[in-house]
Amino acid sequence: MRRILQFILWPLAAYAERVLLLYANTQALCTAAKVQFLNGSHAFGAQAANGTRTVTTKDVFKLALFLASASRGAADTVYDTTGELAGTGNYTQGGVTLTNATAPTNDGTTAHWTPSASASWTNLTSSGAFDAAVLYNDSATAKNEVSVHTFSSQSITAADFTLTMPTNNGTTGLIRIA
Amino acid sequence: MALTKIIKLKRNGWPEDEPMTEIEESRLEYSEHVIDNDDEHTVAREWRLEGKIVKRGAHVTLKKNVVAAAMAAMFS
Repeated sequence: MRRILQFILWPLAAYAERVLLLYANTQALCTAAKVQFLNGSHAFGAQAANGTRTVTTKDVFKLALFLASASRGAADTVYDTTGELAGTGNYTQGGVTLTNATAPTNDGTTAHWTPSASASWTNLTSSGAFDAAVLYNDSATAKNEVSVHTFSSQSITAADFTLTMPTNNGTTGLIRIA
Repeated sequence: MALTKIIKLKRNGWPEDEPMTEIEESRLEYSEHVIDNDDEHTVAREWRLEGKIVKRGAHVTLKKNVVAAAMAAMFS
């Protein structure tokens, strides 16, 4: 009887935890990153010379996968391994480097930037179900986190996982400032 | 006969002393799961042997993403 009750109550407790947002990833542009945008901390593209400074080298941005049980969101400031997939089954903690061949631009009054290729993991066996990817600036000493992107929970077993980027425009681009 | 490559699995209850390398595809139950909504288009492919997942891959295409609203204050 006790085992039956455990069997019934465990999923309910897990669901309640998710509803109460004790463990959930939330899609967001990190608040700290917004401040860093104003401070010129992230170079998504290079720019022409201006009177004050010239950014000739783009920063390197990476994407890491996080377990559905993690709590990544707008309050994050820097990338860390808390809640990230374990470094097993062909996953390396820190994630993959994003291809960045397309400079930020604007579509009407909305500025936008999107990595120019998919992020993929080959022959992956994930250490658990994951539902979020964290974008962070790998060139920054502190590994400043930029954003959290969520999707349906996935568990991968001995196969490839590919995350294809949205269309790079003012409506769907990965990062947009409207 | 088509073979599906499978690595040795310690998960999903597969016995550790029975490493799998390749298996006849006909022995596997294949299914495809599609999620399509405003946020993503996802296709997950799954192969099961006797009900246990032995291989599962997914392709997630993100559709709509994060946006920051920029505001400029007006002097008054």
